[in-house]
Formats: sequence, structure tokens, C-alpha cells
Amino acid sequence: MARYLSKRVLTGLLCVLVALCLNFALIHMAPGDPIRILVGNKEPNPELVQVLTEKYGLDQPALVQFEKYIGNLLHGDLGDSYYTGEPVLNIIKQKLPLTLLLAGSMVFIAVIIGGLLGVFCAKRAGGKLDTFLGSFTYLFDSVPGYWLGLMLILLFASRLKILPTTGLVSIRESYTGFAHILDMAKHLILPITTGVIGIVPYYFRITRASVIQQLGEDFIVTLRAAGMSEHKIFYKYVFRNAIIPTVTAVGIHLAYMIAGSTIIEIVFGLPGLGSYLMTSISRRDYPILMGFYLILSVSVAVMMIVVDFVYTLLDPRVRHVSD
Amino acid sequence: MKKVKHLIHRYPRLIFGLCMAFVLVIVAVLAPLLSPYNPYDLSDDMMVGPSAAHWFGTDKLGRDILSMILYGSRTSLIIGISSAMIAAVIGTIIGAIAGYLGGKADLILGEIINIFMMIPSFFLILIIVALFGSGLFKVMIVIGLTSWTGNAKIMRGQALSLRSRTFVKASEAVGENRMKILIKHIIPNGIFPIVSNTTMGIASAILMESSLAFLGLGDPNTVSWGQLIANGKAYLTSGWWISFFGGIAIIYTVVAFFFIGDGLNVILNPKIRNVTNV
Repeated sequence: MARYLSKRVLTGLLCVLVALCLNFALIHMAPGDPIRILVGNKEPNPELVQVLTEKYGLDQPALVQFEKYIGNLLHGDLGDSYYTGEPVLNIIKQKLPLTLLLAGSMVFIAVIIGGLLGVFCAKRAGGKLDTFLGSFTYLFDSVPGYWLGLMLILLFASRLKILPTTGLVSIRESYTGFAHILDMAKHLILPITTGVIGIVPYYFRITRASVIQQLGEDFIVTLRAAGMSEHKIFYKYVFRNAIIPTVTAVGIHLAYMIAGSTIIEIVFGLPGLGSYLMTSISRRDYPILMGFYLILSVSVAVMMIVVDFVYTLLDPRVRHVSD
Repeated sequence: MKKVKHLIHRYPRLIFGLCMAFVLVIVAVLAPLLSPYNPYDLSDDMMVGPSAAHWFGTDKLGRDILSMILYGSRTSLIIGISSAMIAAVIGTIIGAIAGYLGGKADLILGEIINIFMMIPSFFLILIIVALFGSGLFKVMIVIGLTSWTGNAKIMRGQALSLRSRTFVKASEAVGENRMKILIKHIIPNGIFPIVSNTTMGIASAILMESSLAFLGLGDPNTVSWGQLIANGKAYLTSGWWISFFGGIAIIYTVVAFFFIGDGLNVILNPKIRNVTNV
């Protein structure tokens, strides 16, 4: 097991390194000079351009810049934003909680709804309701999140006027304490619903497929032959084994949802990582882009390793094979 | 007729998906003939709701939404099919080489596939398109280059199983070139799951392109459904139809390709034919 896990850790580290190299190379190959954008396009002062270029080390060869970047990274320094001068780590610390809250809530709610529907349909596999729900999940899969978000705003905010349109808090009110939390929750209902609808099919399919697989296992047939009640077989044996792939999928999905919530943040005007990222792209704020991408790659890699570890703990067969 | 009924009964999603895709292709090909107006033409009928003259209404510049949607099908299909094909070719080649050669080649290529699978691709596409420009060609290349890993995994599995089959062993025994075996036996015999995965890939690529266009990173010189939805965002209350119909068009197209992919998957995989065809 240790060998298997160390191999996965190595893959994770390699993934982060490749992501970093790719990101660095792409950003430095891209047309457009961040210093020009920083000082303004209309006849920039050459001296100012020179000073800023030297300050950010952009006059040095790309390899030297990369070495310096990696060196700083190992000391926990992600660099400073070209635009605001603020440390990238501070900006990420400010923006990450909201994105995590969004991603976490979406995944949590989706896993419950998708899981329950999956179990329900797996027990009736091949039936009319199962086929209907199966087709319905494809419909959910096909709806672009940003469009769904706009339609929900149109219906619940513009027409019915029961929920706020955009933003995280009501600007005209100055709530405090519990009222503030309630106001925030109200603002998050539509964004979270949009995200949940998009990812429910994923959990529905995983749960349904693994429950069906477990129901067909030989030991289940043996238990039935031995006279054990269907209820007991299901909750004691089928469900416990079938839930493993769903639980592990949550870990990986959570990391991906940090990026996945970008569009939702933009549609609903939420000040998270995603919307700041789009602003940074237009400003060509390289350190911010690299910092965000690093955080994302590290989260995915860490989650993959954690998931593998949990999987080997939960399922002895994986442990056996990997040894 | 009986045969058709039997086919529909047996593979409802595949037949349904194929019919939907057929209509879409006809619409894309005949867009200039079917469109009541030129989608780029401005007119005085600004922000007109759905009516007899403009079935899906007009936008803030007086452009006909129906015509834009009909022309937009071309953008979606071109990007969807081309990106999925690029991903299919790259994935098939890498997967087949890794699975067939085995040993160190498999170890290295397998690790490369794993690494690229882990890299968050949407963010990567976003950065590349934002930094390098957003032409139609660039968008399809970028989507294709970042979505090949699923195909590579499938093809690797196929090649691993095929390489121990008698006909491959026989070709090796008579001294046939390994490259030739790869092209003549491994890839043609293992390609079927790639076909169904690529059909699903078309749907994902169309969704990806529309998301990029919505974020303002699509090709500004072509009509795109995502762009149409983005244009309507500011007029959601006064002109809901601008965003609404673009979304319906995307859903229709994506559902069609998902259904075809799923149907092919059911046909090609007898294990899931009976119970797990969701």
C-alpha cells in the first residue's frame, strides 16, 4: 500500500510541476506586455517602463524568471500582483473562502440528491421511472450553467421578485449578525441551485451504476439464498460497498468545482476567485494567473492522493491489488 | 416499417439522437436559405419580442434572433466536431502506442495521460484563449488539445487486451512491423468505444465553446449561441428572448450528441445493454 501511495504522490507532484511549467510557458509566450497595460497605452514614459520591467524581473531570461518563481514558491511566496501590488497569497486568501463555500455547498447538496436518486433508480433498474430519470439527467447535463443561472434570475428575481438578482449581500441594507448571514444565504440560493442542477447527474450515474454492480455480485445472491431480508442485504452490504465510489468522487469533484464555479460567480456577480480571475486575465496580471492555477492544480493533486488513500482504506481489494 | 419500429424500441436514445442531429446538420447546411434575415444586418426593429415578422424576436441592434440561431449552429457544429476529432486522433494514437508497446513506453505514456487528466482543463483553455486570441480555429485546437485523455485511457485499455489476441500474435510471429500491426490491427479493432466517446466529446466541446463565447472569449467575427446569451444578459428583464432561445439551441444540440454517444455505448457494450443504459 505504501508503494502504491508513494507512486500516487509522485504522480501528483509531477502533475503540479507540469501544470506550473505549462502555465509559465503559456503566459510568457502570450502576446501583450503587462507593463504596457500597467502604465497605460498612450505614450508610456520609457524610464517608468524600464523601472517596472526591472522591478518585476521581466527583463531576465524566461528560465531565470522560472527558477526565481519556483524558489520563491518554495518559500511560500507567490509573488505580487502587477496591478494592485498586493501579495498574490493575500488575494487568494480573500477570495478563496467564498469559492470554497460555493463549491462545497454545491457538491454536498448534489451528492445527497444524486445519491438518493441513484439508489432509488438502481433498485428499479430498467423500469419506466429509471429510464425517464436517466433521460432527464442528460437534459440536466446539457443545460449550460450560465444560461440556467440567467433563467433562474429572470424567473425568481425579475418576475417573481422572491430572491435577489446578483451580488453577495444587499448593498442598500446594512445587516449585521444573523441577519447578515441570512441575507448572504438568500443571495447564494440561486448560484448554488444552478451549480447543483449541473452536477446532480454525475452523482446520480455513479451511485446508480455502483449499486447495480453490487446487486449483481455473487455474495449478494448467496445472502439471498441464505434467506437474509432484502432490507438488511441492501443497507448492510450493497449500500456500504456502493457508496465508496460516490464518496471518493466527492473529493476529486470538490477540487474541480473551484474552477467550475467561475462562470457561476460571473453570472451572479459574486466576488470569488473565478470573477477575479477574469479581471486578472484582462489586466494580464501574470502572478495572479499563475498563483490561481497553482492553487487549483495543487488542490486537484492533493484531493486525488487523499481519495486514493481513502479508497485503499475503504476497499481491501484495492489494497490487495496495489500491493 | 416493422424494422424501424423494432430499432426505435431497442435503441430509443440512439434513433432519437440521430434524428435530432440530422435536423441540426440540415439547418447548419441550409442556414442561408432557411434564415429569414441576414444575421449581421441591423434594422430599426430593435428589441422586438417574438412576433410573426421575427419569430424569436430581435436584439438591441435589431438583428433577427432566429437567423442568428440558425447561423450559430454552424459555429457549434464546426467547433464541436473538429475539437472532438482532434481529441480522438491524439487520444487514439497515444493510447494505442502505450497499450500495445507496454513496458517503459506504457509507463511513461500512462503517466503522461494521468498527469494531463489531473490538470484542470477549463481553466487552462480559458487562459490560452484569453492570452492568445479567440479565433474559431484557435478555440477548436485548444479544446481538442486539452480533451484527449479520456480517449487515450480507453484506447490504452483496448490495446492492452488486443495485443494478446491470436491474430496480433500471429502477425508478430510472421515478422510484421509493429507500427503496421498498430495501424492495421490494434487501432481498427479497438476504435469502437472511441467512436461513442467522441460523440459525447462533441457535446462537451459545444458546451465549452459556448461557455468561452459567453465569457467574451469566443470568435467575435462569427455568430455563436454563447455570445448571443451573453448579449442578452444585460436585457434579461426587457428582452428575455435574446438569451432564452440561444440556450434552447445549445440544449437541443448537446442532448442530440449525448443520446447518440449513449446509444452507441449501449450497442457496443453488451454488458450494459440490459440494465445500466442510463
